[in-house]
Amino acid sequence: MDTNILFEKFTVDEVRAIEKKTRADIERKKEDLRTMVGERYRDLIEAADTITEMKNSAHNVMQSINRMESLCKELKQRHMVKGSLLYKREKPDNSSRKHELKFYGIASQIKLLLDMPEKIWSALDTSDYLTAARHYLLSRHVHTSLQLDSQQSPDLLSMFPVLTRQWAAISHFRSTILQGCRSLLRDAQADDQQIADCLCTIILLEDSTPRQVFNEFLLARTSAVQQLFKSNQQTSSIKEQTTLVIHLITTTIHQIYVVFFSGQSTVDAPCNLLLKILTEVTSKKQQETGLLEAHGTVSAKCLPRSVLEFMPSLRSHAVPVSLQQLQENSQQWINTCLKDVTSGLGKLLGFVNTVKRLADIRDALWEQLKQDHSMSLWGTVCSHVLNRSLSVWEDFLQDLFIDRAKALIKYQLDTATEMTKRHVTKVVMEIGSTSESISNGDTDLAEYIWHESSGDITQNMAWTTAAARSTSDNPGGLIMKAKAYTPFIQSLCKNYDEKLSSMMEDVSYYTQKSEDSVTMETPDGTEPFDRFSKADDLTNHIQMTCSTCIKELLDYLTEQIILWEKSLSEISDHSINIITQNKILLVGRLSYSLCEMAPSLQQCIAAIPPGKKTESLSYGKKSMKLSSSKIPDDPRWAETKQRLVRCQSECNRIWSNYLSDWVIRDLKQNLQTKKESDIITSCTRWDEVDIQEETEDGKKISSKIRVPMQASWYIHSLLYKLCKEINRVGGHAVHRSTLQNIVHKVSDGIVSCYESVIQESRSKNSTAIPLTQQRALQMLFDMKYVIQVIPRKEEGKENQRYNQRCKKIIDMLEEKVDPFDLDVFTPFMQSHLLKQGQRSAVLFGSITCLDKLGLYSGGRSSQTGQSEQHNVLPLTQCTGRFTLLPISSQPTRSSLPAPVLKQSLYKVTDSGMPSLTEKAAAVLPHSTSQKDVGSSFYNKLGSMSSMSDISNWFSNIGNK
Amino acid sequence: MNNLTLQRHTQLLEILEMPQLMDTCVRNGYYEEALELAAHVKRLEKKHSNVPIIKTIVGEVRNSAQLMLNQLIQQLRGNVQLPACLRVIGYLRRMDVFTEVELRIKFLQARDTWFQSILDAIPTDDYYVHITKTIEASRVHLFDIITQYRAIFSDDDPLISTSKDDSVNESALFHGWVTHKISQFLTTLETDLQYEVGGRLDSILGQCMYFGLSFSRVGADFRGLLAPIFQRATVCGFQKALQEANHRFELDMRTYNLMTQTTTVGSSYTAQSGPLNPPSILLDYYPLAVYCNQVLSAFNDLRLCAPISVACDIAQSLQASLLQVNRIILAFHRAEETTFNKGEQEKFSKFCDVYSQTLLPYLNKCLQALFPPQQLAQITGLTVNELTKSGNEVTIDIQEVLKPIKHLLPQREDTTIQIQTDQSASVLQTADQSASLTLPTGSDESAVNQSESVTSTEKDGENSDAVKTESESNIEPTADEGKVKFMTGNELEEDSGIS
Repeated sequence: MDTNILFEKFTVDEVRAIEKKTRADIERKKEDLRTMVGERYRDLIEAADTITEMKNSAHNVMQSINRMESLCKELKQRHMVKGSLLYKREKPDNSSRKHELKFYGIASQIKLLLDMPEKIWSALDTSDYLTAARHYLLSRHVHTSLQLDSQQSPDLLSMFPVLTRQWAAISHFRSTILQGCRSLLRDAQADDQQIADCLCTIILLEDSTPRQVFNEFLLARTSAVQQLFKSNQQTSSIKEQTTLVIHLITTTIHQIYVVFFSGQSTVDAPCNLLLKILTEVTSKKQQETGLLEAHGTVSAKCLPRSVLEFMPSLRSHAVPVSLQQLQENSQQWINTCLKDVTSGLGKLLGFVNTVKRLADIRDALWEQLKQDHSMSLWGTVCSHVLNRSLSVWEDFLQDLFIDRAKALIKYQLDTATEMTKRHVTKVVMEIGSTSESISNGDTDLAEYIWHESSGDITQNMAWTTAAARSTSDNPGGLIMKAKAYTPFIQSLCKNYDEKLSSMMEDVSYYTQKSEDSVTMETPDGTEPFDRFSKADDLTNHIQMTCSTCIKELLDYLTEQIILWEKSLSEISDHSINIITQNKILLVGRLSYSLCEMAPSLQQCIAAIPPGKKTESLSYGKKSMKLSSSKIPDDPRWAETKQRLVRCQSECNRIWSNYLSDWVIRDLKQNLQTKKESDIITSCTRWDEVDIQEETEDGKKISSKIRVPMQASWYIHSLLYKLCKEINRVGGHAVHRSTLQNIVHKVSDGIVSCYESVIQESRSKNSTAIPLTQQRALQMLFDMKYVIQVIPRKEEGKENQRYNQRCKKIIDMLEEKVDPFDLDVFTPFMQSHLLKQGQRSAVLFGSITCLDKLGLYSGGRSSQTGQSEQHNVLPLTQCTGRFTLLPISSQPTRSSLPAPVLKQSLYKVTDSGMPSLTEKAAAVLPHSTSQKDVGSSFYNKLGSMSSMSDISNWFSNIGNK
Repeated sequence: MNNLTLQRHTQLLEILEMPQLMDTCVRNGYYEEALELAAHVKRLEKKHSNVPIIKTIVGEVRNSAQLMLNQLIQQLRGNVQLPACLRVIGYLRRMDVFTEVELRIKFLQARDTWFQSILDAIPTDDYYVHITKTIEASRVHLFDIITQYRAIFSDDDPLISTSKDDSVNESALFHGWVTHKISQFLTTLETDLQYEVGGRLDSILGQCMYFGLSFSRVGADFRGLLAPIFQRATVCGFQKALQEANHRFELDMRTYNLMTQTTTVGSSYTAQSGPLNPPSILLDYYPLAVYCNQVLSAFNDLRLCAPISVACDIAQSLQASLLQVNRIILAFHRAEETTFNKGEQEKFSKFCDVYSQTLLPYLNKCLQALFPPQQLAQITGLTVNELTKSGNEVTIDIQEVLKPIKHLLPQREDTTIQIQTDQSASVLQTADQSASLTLPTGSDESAVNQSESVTSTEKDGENSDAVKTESESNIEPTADEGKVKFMTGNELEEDSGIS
């Protein structure tokens, strides 16, 4: 009912009525109500309670729905952020506080992000890659969560625009860290922990498996090994490089064991470090690992729980590398390394020039390994990792070192040999070039020996006794002269000896403990490896190489000798052949002197350890000098020596062959002459003896016979030439057998010459001149003389046959002589023969006194006192002087009749130009006959006086 | 301590003064004492070589010892007599410085040095003086050195030489040295003889031979080696003279005018012409005469020292020289032939005639006088006849020589050449007979007399036939007697063949 309508339809009364009515209604209704309430109160209370109950339940429903809603939101958020298990439950009590808190959380996270680069940098700087990686991971986590937040509250990015930029600054650290890790992997100096950290980092950052990182590790180490051999390491010495490589390899093996090995370990060494670290990293919270700063800072307090309790997680579960795989890969790796080391180190060692440096390197390695404490577990480590034992020295290096040492030894020996060869060639050339530059020691030993030189008497000679001196290093020039070693031979042997001994010394560093290393013996007596295990091998090598070198040298010399021998047989020029002979003899002397003058050679070949050298040097020399029997002869040395001696005897053989051929050729020429004029040329003075004989009827007849009293000139010359040649090569030092050989050859040659002459004269061939009695007598004398000088009385078939041949020749020659005459002549000839023999005993001493029982009566005894004919050259008996034609001086020149005296006394300087005196003679008129008489008188007078003078003077001497 | 030092002052002083004492000893030649001192110091050195003062003392004494060694060796390098040598070697031996071999070498070296210094001091201006002085020095001093060596060192005892090192032959050292010295002497001789020593080769020969003879007493008779040297020297000298003659002849022929007459002195000379006097006709041909004289003077030089053994060489050289003369004559003829007038032509052919008919036979005769065929025969053991037959007699082969200029000789001369050569041959034969018969009969003297008589008779100008018969008649009977006994059957036959 509407009030406005009421006032329109009804009047005021009516309205009052209505009002009253209504009031009444109200009153009544009030009454009714009051009654009703009174009546229905209990029902009302009941209803009110129910309403409150309803309200509570509705509120509960509302709450549950709200909670569901928020839970759903939470759930969504949680799925967005990895690793967060809990969501922020706390609800700020009031919105403003909550908001504030949230803001602070974001801000502190941003701060964390801002701090992160610095932290990562510093971690990188200390090579703490694991920390860096964890920082990186944390910051990534923070960034991601913020990113998510920003989706919810769009004002986040506007509030912190730095967020995107900061992430860009951090995100590149991943590659940096990985790079750092990988480079660290290559570093041999990195310790186990570092390596494990690195590997762990790689696993975290790249989500790889341990197996992968294992392979990566091995690869890195391989490339590190290779890198070490690269040429960029030039600055470091080979020694350093070698030790580095070895260190790298050993540490790698160790690290493989420590980091990866997960099997049952028998030793108490740490192992399987990688997994330990990995689990540690993935299971501990940031705070526990100390990644974040202490709680003290304001910002740290505000950090949300998700950040504080962040733990990096792996996609897959980390599985340790299986043992089999580990071993397989490791072995493979070792083999690769072996290859690399062999090639790389081989190259490097090629730059090492002395065995001593090799030994140095080896000792350095030895030291290094000895000081490396981890090496004590090496055996077990190897057996675990490689499933076999591995010795760094023996498997990797020993062969390389030995090979290099051998190469060095060979090189040095080759150089020595080559040098000797070159020197010999040079000297041979000098001998051939006939220039005077070379000292004549090698061309004329006699000159060298008999000429006093400054080196003959050494300093301190007076103090040392002869025996001591001859065994010392510097025995003086005299002993060399006595042994006929020329300066060249001396210097050559010395050089060779020095080379050898320096080589030996060099090698001795390798094969023997030096004094200082003895003191550094490890206390427990164990050594990383046996340094001298292959010393015997080296010694053998020296022996072999040395023998080979000597052989090579001898081959070269022999080659030359053969060439020279050929040239001797082909070239007939004696002067050239003398040069060739000098060369041959030089080589002979050299080869022999090498055994005596180069004690190191014996040491090398007989493998006398050079350690003994110092104390036994003098001893060795002495024994070599005096008698080589003191040192038990090594068969190899004996063989080498024999070879050298053989070379010498070969040289001597060629020389003696040539020499005997040469003298015999001359003899043959003289003996097998076809002309009488040659007989005249070679005639000697015969002794004229008065003999008295009784004829059958008792009459005494004195008669005069002529008997030969000396050997023919050519026999003299032959023997003397022989002596001279022998003397020229230093006869006293030539071995007796060689001389004997020569003498035998020559005497054989002489005998055959005579045989052929006799043969020829016997045959009816007319070309040969008849063998007259005179000639036969002379030849008889010659033959007997030769037999006397070269008696060859020693036993032996050769000598017997020789004597028989001689006898036959003598018989045949005697046949040619009238038997009566022979009877008469023989005693005289015999006495002449004896006299002649004694008189030339010293002159031909070099060839006569070879056999001890040869005649050496010295010629001091049995002097015939009688004054005898001094002249052995038969002179013409012409006494008359040829008169000259009296020639008047021609107007132009007349040098001819100039006084004979003048001509004979002064050298005619120039015959063509008339001298002043000649001109004067030409101008002055004088009688030619007078001049002639004068000159002849003068001449006679001069010659007479000189003759008588001299003969008087000499007869005094003769009668002495 | 000081006290002790004072007590031992004298002993200490003695030790400290040792070097001084040693030095004094050495310098004054008290080698005996020096040796004792040295021995004492050596003992000291052995015992107390760690004491520095002893070390210095030893060092000083060592220097003195070295000085002593040098002094001793220096003594050997001087003119020392045997006793001094013995003493020095005795000291050296006691010093025990050298081994036996070294000692020998050093001794010979040192003595050799001295000897060389003497040889070097001989002036070399005049080769004759040089060689004679060398001979004398060598003879005296080498002999001394050898004697000294012999007295000091013993080679005879085989025990010494065998007991030691076998590689060095001690006695060979001495032989080597002697050989070395003799070679040296022979080389000197040969070089000196290369130069002109004039006509005094004979005196050098004599000296050398005496030298050799005296050396024969020490067993080094090298006279056998001298012969070839002197033979060479003689031939060489002769050849030089002939060269000179040829040269002279060539010069003369260049300026020779055929028509020049030089018979001015010829007449006076002809009176004394004999077989060994040059034919005076040569005087008409001046170059020939000069050549003849040159050759003759060469012969005269040769004569003084002419070993028989060089006979053939001399003949050959002469022949070679004559061939040279031929060449010159031919050259002369070639140059002048075109301008010859008749007189010159005649004169030239006469020139050739004289050359071939007179000069050559004459030279042959001279050769034979120089080298009597009988002497040669005696040496070869052949008879003169055989020698001639085998063509080895010492003559010029005239036919051979004349061959190149045969066309220049007058035709008619051929026969005479033949005759001439025949004659010469016969002369040879007879002369040879006489000589060969001469020898067995008497001593050297008579032979010389004989030859002298021959020359004298020849000089007298009688013809040679008479001489021959005379000598034959003189000698024959004795020869027969001698021969029966001492000739072999062979030779008898030969002889009979000749007669």
